[in-house]
Amino acid sequence: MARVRHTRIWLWLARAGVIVFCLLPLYWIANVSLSTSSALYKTPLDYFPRPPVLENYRAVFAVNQFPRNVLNSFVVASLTTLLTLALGSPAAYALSRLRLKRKNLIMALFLGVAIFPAIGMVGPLYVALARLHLINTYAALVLPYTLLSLPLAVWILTHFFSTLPTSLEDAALVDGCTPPQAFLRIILPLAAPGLFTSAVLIFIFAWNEFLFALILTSTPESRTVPVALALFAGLHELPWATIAAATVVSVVPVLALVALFQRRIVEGLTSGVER
Amino acid sequence: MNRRQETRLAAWLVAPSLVFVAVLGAFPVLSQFVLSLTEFNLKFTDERSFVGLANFAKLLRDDVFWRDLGQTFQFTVVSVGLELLLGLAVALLLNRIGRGRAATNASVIMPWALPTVVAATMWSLILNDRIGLVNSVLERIGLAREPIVWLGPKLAMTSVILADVWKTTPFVAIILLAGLKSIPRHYYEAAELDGAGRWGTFRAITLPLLKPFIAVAVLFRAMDAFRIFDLIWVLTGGASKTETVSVYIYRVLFRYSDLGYGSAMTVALFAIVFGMSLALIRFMRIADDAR
Amino acid sequence: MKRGIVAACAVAAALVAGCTAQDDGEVRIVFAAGNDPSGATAALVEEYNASHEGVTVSFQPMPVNTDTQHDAYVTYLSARDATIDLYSLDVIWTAEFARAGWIVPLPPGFLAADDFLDGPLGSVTYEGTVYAVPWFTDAGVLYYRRDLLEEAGVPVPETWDEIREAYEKIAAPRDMEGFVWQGARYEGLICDFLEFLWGLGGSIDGAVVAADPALAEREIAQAIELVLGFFDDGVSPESVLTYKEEGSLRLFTESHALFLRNWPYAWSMAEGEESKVKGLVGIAPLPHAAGETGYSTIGGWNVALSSHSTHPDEALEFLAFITSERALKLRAIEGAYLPTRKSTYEDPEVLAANPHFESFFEVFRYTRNRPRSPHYPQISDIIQVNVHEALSRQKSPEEAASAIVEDLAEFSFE
Repeated sequence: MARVRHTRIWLWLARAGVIVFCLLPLYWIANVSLSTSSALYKTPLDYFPRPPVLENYRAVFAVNQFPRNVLNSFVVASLTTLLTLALGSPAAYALSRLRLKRKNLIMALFLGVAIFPAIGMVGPLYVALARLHLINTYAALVLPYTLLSLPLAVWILTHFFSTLPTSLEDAALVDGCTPPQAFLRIILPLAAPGLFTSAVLIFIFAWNEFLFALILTSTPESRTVPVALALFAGLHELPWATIAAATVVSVVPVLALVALFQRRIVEGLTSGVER
Repeated sequence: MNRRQETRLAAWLVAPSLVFVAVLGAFPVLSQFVLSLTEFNLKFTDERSFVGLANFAKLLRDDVFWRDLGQTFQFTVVSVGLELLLGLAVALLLNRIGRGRAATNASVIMPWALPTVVAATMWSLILNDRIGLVNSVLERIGLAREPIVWLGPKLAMTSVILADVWKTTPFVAIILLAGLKSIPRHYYEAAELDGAGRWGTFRAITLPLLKPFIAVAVLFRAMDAFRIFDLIWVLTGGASKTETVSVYIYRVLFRYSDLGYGSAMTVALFAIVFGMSLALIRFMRIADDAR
Repeated sequence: MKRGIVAACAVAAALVAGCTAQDDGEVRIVFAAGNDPSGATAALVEEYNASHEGVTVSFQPMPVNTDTQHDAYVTYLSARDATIDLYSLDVIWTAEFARAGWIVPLPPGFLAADDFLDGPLGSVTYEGTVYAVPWFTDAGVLYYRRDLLEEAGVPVPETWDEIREAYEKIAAPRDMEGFVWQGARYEGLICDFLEFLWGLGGSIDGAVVAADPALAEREIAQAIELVLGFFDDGVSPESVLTYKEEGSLRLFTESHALFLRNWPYAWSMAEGEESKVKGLVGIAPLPHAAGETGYSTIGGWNVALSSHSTHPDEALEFLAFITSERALKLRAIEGAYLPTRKSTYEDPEVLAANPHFESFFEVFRYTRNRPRSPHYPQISDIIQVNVHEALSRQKSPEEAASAIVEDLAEFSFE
């Protein structure tokens, strides 16, 4: 009994430690965003904004296209996630659970794309996308981002699908499902944690990517958050409080989304089919 | 479903992503290979010429490239190693949390959800020796008497690694957490019945079943770490023995507009990382497990 | 499966959204430049559009960071992109962009050279041809704690020895740093290092290096030794090797340093509400060795015409407007951008908004440009890498100096 209580205390301590470690920067950025810009350096430091000020948030929203940039990031990241999963999960299913020749070669090919240094791809991609008149559209970012994140999705999902027992489809097929139906109705819901994990990783990658976004979009209306954040910095000065406020504005929706998805979708789906 | 049907279905399922990768990836990737055989600077387009493998010969003699490669290797091994250990610990912990799981998970992702440039700039400010947050806290709690020059010649690599570990541990943790969730509960129940201790259960069940996920996390983290650029560019600019191959490639490709030599380095980096990945895959034998 | 198809259609539709072309006979000019948070540039563009029928100029703000803009512009220009007509270029890029054929020579007489400051004017030519118009400028300045110097009865230092003496007398007893500047490995290190070199009477110009490499080597080594001496005596902390503008400035505004080398922008930060040294700051020309002259490195930006512009005439007209006295004045008043035209420094409205400009004008009399070459980024990296290694004692001053001179010999200077 004593041992159980001990473990529980340790678990709580560890959990608190992890949360502090991870949330401290968010707290710190929030603190700076609510303080005047020298809060970062005050000696001795203030651990709370005193008094809290909202002027930094006002400055962020005074840049009239910033909400538009957040929306752009949201659309680009969502489309990238959808497209990547739509392409990647059938491929991963085939690679993990169906008979297919040259599986390792295909896996290696995906890996090769992931390995190719992105820095070297920007220039040629710009030339190609400009010729297709896609610069400054969502496609200019969604297509390259999908290319870059597809390998990770395929790899994660392949491993995820392969952990599921093979008897599942057989049972479904016996029940009269077609193989695509078996995939959509049985396997995908069971793989929800894997899909969710890939979705989070892809979404955040697309949300934060800077170099491609800088080069492949150039009008203020078509830009995404990371480039918009870079616009707040001056030639030499760093209006850190404003940047912090803009960062909070751009990060909080992502976190909320992750928490929401986790609660509603993943747990909803997995609870239906407890294994 | 017979064999042929199954193979055909599998081919149809894989085809869209293969076509996508081929169509979109072919041009940028192949153009690098072609460019690597030429002498070509964007600024001097009149001096373009085919030089065969000359760029690669130059690369072999380029001390900076080899020095940076060593530093990149050092960075990758240490940071990915730490990220794996920490990420595993965090994942095990999160897996045991009942109430408030969604919020905890979302908060764990926080460091990874910060744009790298913002995170890097933040680190550069809070690591300032005289007025940064870190030293001020350390001095207040009495752990440091002299200000520590975190980004100076002695500690630069350590600081860069710590910043990277802080930022990307969540990536490892969330992949491993997904892996832990895929382990059927009855395995543990059986182990408990057998009277296996906690450590025994971990070694006998958790670790082996988690292996493919560890492999994926390590593989993709290692690939990313090997190509690290923006964190280092913001924190040190590559000074104090922290320059990685990608920083060098950035200088040659973007700053000097030297596409020929830059592409040769890109191709070389590609070959090295690809070779490393294959070795890693063989070592962890994930290709077999995937079947 | 159906859901997949619907999703695919939605994705396809969303992807193409936003590709609309306009064609109504209007001439569209795009001007790309670093973002201007003061709004002055946007206001000027609006004003111009209101008074010019048939022409619509749009201002495309870019991240202000030099490297970031360089990455983007080089990609656009080398892909012969015609969507941007006018570019604002860092003073160090003129030779590079001109040699590449990305920007075109300005028509003879377009630039009224007599009206501009000499420093910025030195950055707009390549091989004797004018390629750009100076837009706003920047130069290194010495900031000092007026209150502490006055209290100790120490005059404003003109030489490095006097800086050292002031440090020993005022800063050391207070546990303050003496002289902080920008020593991280980035472009700022070049600016600061050249100022040390010039202040010793040295130079790193192509002609000098080519004419007498041994002399150039000696001068560079001397400059490195000068700085190492500062480290040894505690005048400058070795941690300046990790500082960029922001870090060094905050040390000064938090009252941790007696002297600061920084750009003019630092004035409004040091004298701002949050600064601990508000009202206690003075500015002076950069120090130098006894018997020599201190020079400030010229920074700032010019405006040039893209060679891919489809409406060069209209673009040039706007270029003239955005670099006109009226535009520079508004940007000086609203955004504190230092004008490149001499007359603006006598304008009462400008001086009312920026009283400190008058003293900057003094400082600007002794300015110099960084080496001008189409290979500038390489030249900059060679100096950055070697100087930083020498200053962090990974290399001896002599080794670094000879590596610099040897590597620079490969490149053509103007």
